[in-house]
Amino acid sequence: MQAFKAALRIVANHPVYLLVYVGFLSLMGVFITSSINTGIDGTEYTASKAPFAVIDRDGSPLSESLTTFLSQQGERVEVADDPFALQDAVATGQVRYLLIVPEGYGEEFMEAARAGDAEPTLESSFSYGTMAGTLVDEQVNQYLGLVRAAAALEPDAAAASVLARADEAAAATAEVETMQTPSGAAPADRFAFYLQWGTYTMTAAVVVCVGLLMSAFNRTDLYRRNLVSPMSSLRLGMQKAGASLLVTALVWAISSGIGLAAFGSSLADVPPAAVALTLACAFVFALVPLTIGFLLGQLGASEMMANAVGNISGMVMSFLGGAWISIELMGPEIQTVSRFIPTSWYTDAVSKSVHLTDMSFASVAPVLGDMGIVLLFAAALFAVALVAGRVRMRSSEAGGNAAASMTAA
Amino acid sequence: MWNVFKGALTVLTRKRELFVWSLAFPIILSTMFMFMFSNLDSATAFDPVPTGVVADAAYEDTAFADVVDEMGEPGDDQLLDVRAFATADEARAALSSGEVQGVLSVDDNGDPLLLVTPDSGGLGVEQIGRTILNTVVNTYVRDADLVAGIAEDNPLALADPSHIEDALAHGDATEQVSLTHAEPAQSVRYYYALLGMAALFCGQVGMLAICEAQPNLSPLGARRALGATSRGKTLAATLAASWLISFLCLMVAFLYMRFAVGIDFSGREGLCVAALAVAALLSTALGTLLGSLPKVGLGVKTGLLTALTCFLSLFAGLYGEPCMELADSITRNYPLLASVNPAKVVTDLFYSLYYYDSLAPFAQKAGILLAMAAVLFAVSALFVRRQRYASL
Repeated sequence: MQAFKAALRIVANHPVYLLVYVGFLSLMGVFITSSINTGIDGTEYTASKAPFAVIDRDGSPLSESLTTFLSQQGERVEVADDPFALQDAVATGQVRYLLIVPEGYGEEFMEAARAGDAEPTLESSFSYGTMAGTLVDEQVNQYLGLVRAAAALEPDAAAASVLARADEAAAATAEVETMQTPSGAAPADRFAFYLQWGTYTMTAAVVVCVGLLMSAFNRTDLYRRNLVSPMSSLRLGMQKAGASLLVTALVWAISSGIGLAAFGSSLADVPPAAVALTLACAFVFALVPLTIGFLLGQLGASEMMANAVGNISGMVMSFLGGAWISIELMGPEIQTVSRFIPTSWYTDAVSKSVHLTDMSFASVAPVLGDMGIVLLFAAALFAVALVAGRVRMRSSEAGGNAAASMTAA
Repeated sequence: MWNVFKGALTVLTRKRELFVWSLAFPIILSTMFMFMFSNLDSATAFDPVPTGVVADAAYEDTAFADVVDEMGEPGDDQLLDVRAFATADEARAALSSGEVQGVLSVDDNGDPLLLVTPDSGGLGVEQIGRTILNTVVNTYVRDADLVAGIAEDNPLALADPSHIEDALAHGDATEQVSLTHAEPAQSVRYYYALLGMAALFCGQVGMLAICEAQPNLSPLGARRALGATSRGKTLAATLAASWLISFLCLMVAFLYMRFAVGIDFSGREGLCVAALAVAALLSTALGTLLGSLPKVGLGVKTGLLTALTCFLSLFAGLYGEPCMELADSITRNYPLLASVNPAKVVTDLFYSLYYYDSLAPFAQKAGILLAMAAVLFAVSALFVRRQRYASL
C-alpha cells in the first residue's frame, strides 16, 4: 500500500486544488442554481412587472400621475438624470425601458389634446430584451391615451379633473381567466440543475487532482526507480488507480454533499431510492473525468497541462451536455455533437431520475440505460489510456525500453 | 538587453502549456459562447405576440374585434400575431399546446375576456407576452370606462360620435431614441467579461517569466543572476517580452472574436487594441507579483492565479445572467469595490467603448488599470530586487 499512500499524500499536499475546484466551484454552482428561474409555474396568472425608469424633467401633474400609474404596473427604478447613469441603466438592463419627460411637456400635451392637435411625443429608450420595453411602452400609451381622450372630450375641464377622470378609468380592469395546464416542472429540478451544472465542478476537480497524482509518478527518474522496484507494474498501477478512485469519490461526496445541503429540501417529494439513484448517476459520471485524468497521466502531461485540460474539458463537456443552457436551444449540429459527449447522457439520466415517482424496473430502465452509456464512455477512455501508457512506457523520453536501446547503441 | 529580450521570448514561447491558458482558452470559450448566445439577443427581442381569438358570433363585428384587427395588421407597429379559431375549445387547445400565448374572446354581455396559462415567472418572453395581451384588453376596457364615466356626468360632451372616435384614436405618444453609442445587446457583455478573464489568465506569462528569472525559483534564473547583465536590465527585458506575448495572445483572441465570432465593437477597434495593450500590462504586473512571491512553488502559484482569475471573473459577470446581475449591482452600490477588480475594469474598458459616446470613462478605466499595474510592479519590486538567498 506504499504507492497508494504516497499517491494520496500528493493530493493532500495540494489543498489549493481541492479548495478551488471542489469547494469554490461547488459554491458557485449553488449560487447559480439558486438564482436560476427553473420555470416552476404558479397556478394563477399575474402580470409581469418590468423594471423601468422615468426621468421627469417636467414635474407637472401629468408627468407625476403618469409615473404613479406606471409604478402600479411595473417596478420603478430610480435613475439619476446624468448622461452616464442613463446609458448605464439601459446598457446593463437595470431598466428595460426608460422614459424622458421634457420640461413643459404636461402643459403642451394638455393644450394639444384640448385643441385636438397632434400632441408632443416623449423620448423612450429600450434596453436589450425589447419585449419588456414594448410592454411598458404600451402602458405609457394606454395612460396618455386616456388623458388625451378625457381632455379632448371635455376641453373645458381643469387639468386636475381630467387626470382624475383618467385615473378613475385606469382603475377598471378586464377579466382574465387562468387556464390550468399540466406542468412538467418539479421543485426537484433545482437539485437536478445543480448536479448538471456540477459536471463542470466534477470534471475540473477530478481531472486536475487525478492528473496531478499521476503526473507526480511520471518524473523520469522516479518512473525509472519504480520500474526497477520489486513491485510489479500491475500492482503499482492498481494502487495508483485505487488512490485516484478514492479522490474521485471524495470529490463526488463533497460536491453532492454541498448540493444536498443547499437544495436537499427540494427533494421532499422524490422517493429516497430515486435520490440514491440520482447520486449514483453523479458517481458514474465522475468516472469519466477520472479516466481523462488517468489518460493525461499516462500521456505524461504536466501539472499545468492537467490544470488546463481539466478546466477547459470541464467547460466544454458541461456546455455541450446542456448544463449551461438547455440543449434544445442550440443548433441541430451542436445537438448531434452533444450525443457524443457523456455529459448529455448524464444530464438526461439526472432529469429523468429526479422525476421518478415509483421504482419499478420499467421506470428505472431508461436511467440505467443512460448510465450504462456513460460507463461505456469511461471504459473506452480507460482502454485508450492503458494503450497510451504501454506505448509511452517503451518510449525513450519516459525512460522505457527505447531509452535502454539508445544507450546500448 | 536585446539579447535578454530575445532569450526571454524564446524561453516563453517554448512553454507550450502557457498557450493553453492564454491563447487556446479564450478562443475555445468564445466559440462556446458563440453557440450559447447565438439565440440570446433574438430570443428576448420583441415579436408580435401569438394571440388566438374566438371568432364566434359574439366576437365578430364588435368594436373590440376592430381594435384587435388593427393591432394584428402586419407592419412596423404590429403588436399581435392574431390567429382566429372558430370555437372556444379549439382556441383552448392551441393555448394548451403553446401555439398561442393567450386567447381573446367576447362574452355575451359584449365584454372582452382574456384567457391565459399560469405565470411562468420573471421576464420571460411568454410571461411578457401574456402581460402585453392583458394591457391590450385593459386599454380597451379603460377607454370604454372613460367614455361611460363622461356619459354619466356630462352627456353633452359626447354629442358628436366622430369626436369620440377621434379622441380615442391611439397615436404613438412615444418615440424610441437610442441613448447609448451602440444598441444595447445582452450577449456582447459576456465576450467583454471573457476578455477580462483572458487578460488575467495571461498573467501566467509574466509569472513564468519571473520564475525563470529568479535565482531561487529555477536553475535558469540562477544562471541568469550570475550573468554580466544588470538585474534591472534583465528584469526590464523579461517583462517587456512577457508583455509582448500577453498582448499578442489577447490580440489573437480579440481578432477571433471580432472576425470569426462577429462580435460588435461598435467601430472602435483601434481603441480596443489600445485597451488590450493596457490589459496586457496589467496581466504582466499581476503575473510578476504572483511569480515573485517567495517560498511558493510554481504549481501553487498557478493554482492561485487560476483561483484568483475565476473568482474575480465571477464579479465581472462572466458566468451567465445571475452573475452579470450580481456584478452590475456591485458596480452600482459599491463602485470602489468594482474598480479594484481588474477583471471587471478590463471588462468595463470594452463596455465603455461600446456604450458611451464620450471617451472619458474609457480613459478613466485605462488610468485605473495603469495605476493598478504600477502598484503591482512596485510591490513585486520588493520581492525581486536585492534579495539574498541564504542557501546560495
